[in-house]
Amino acid sequence: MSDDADRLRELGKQLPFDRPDHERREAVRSSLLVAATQTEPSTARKRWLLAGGGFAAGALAAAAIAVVVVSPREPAAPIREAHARIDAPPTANLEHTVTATTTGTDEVVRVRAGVVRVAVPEVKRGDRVRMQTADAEIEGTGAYEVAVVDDRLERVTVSEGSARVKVRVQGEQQHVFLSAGQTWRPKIVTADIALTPPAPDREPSSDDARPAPADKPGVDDARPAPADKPGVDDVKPTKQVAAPPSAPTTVPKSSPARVPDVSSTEPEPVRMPAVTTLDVAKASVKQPSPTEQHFQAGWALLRAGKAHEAAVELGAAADAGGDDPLATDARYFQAVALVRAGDGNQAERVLVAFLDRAPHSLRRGRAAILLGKLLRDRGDTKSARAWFESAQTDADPAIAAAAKAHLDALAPPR
Amino acid sequence: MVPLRRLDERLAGLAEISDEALLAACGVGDSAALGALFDRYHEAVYRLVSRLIRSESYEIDDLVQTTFLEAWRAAKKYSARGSVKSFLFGIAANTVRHYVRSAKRRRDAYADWPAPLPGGSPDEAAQRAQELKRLAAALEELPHDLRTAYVLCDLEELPGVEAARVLGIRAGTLWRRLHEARRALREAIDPTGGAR
Repeated sequence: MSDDADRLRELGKQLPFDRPDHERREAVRSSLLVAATQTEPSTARKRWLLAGGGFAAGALAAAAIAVVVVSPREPAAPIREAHARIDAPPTANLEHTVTATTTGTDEVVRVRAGVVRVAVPEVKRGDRVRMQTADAEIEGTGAYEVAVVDDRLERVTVSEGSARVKVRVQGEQQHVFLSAGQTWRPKIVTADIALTPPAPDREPSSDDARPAPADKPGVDDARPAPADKPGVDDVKPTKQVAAPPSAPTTVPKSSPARVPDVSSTEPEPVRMPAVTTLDVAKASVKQPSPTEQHFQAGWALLRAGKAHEAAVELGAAADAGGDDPLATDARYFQAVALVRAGDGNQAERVLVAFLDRAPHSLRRGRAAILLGKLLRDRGDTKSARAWFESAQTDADPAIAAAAKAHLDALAPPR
Repeated sequence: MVPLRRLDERLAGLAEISDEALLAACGVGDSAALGALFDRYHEAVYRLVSRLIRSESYEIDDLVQTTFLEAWRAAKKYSARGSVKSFLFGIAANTVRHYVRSAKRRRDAYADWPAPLPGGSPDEAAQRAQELKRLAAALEELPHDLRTAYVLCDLEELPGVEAARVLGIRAGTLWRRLHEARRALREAIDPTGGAR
């Protein structure tokens, strides 16, 4: 390799790139895992089916060509059919495109001005239907209305189903999950962010499992809250509130004795479709399972500060779900709710059950630390140490570091 | 109440599992393996994608997520002829290519990129900043195929044979693209030819 090429490569490696911060990474990770649970990996059998299908499609194509050649010419049908039903006034400035992707179709309604209502039925895997503005993207199933002024999102109102909004406010990207009956305005959230004080650092204690007095700025501020969340107007109060991705666990650099709030972990987003019929389009929506219903109810209660009731609902979700990953998460959050409710003994039992039944859960490390803290607070430092040590091998470096910080904070073993 | 040893062993095992084993676990539907794979390679994929296409952060997020989701779907097709990283990079490159072709969108050419941390004297730092700016602009102007070859081979240091395979092109074609990309970028950095 010549010096020129080396120099060019060296210079190229200094080019900055879009490095995601922890919250953004966690949001993508959570979204990815949710999508993966809804998507089965392809199998050899499917490949054979695909190959067989390919031969069949080839034969059909040949037959179709023969028919076209010998038959009179007719208007061609559209290759890609749009999923979205759009209802917009003549004054609205929008553009509707459908393009092919590797997985299906990507349907984009680009809105620059006006109030546009769109109804989206459930689409097959790989297909996407999105509304876009210069600063935001909305994707959902059901019916929702978007108001746009000067190419900026002013408001999103979901009347049926659910929608996910990704918006950039003051240079920060936010993710908002809305369900039927909710309205969201980015400007109000921006004001709230400016007024919200940052959460102070705290010394490690069992209070770590208690709800924070104020939400941290960032993605968390964009969460739809059951009733008390600024920026989200509940047109119809509902328990169908989507949960946000996991809160990050950070390790304080200044003091090893300070440990992150591992029990503030929150579940990945779960979309909750509506069950009523659509006015604009007959979109089919899926009825949530009992596990999902209990989980959402429990989550909403937890957010509302009703820890006792949340623990009951989350326990019901865990019992109803069997080996469902959502049930596993429910078990973990049941323990969090019990800690918040002050029932440490029951929380210990639930955490042990969780750790025993979920050997591959991504929340193992957090659960081990939470259990260790409970044991430490009631004086069982030997057991606490063992759990902290087990969390030191967590795949998430932040969790492992938090476990180490807890170990360092403990008195040395005799 | 003390954890059993087997739990520690499981955790340690998950941390030490090979890339190939993680991908194989993805193939049988183990989403924890997908999470571990994401943890290992998300930064590399972010770096690759954001250098292949200049776009909004949420679009980069989408492309990265699509890459890992495609890897999840295609995990059983992984032949182990190349590394898992190459496998992921191939999917990412193709995902971006499809996106560029279908969307036909372009952003301001690196105008809002933050300036790199300067080093050395102020004059040297200023010169390097200028070169980086020119390089970034030139990279943006490169045809997508040439940019992909340069980013994969020179910046991500993927072996040429693997890069050609994951892109579905012949090795000779890759080298030609890489040569053209380097020449264009060298000219952009130093139009007077001083860098040659």
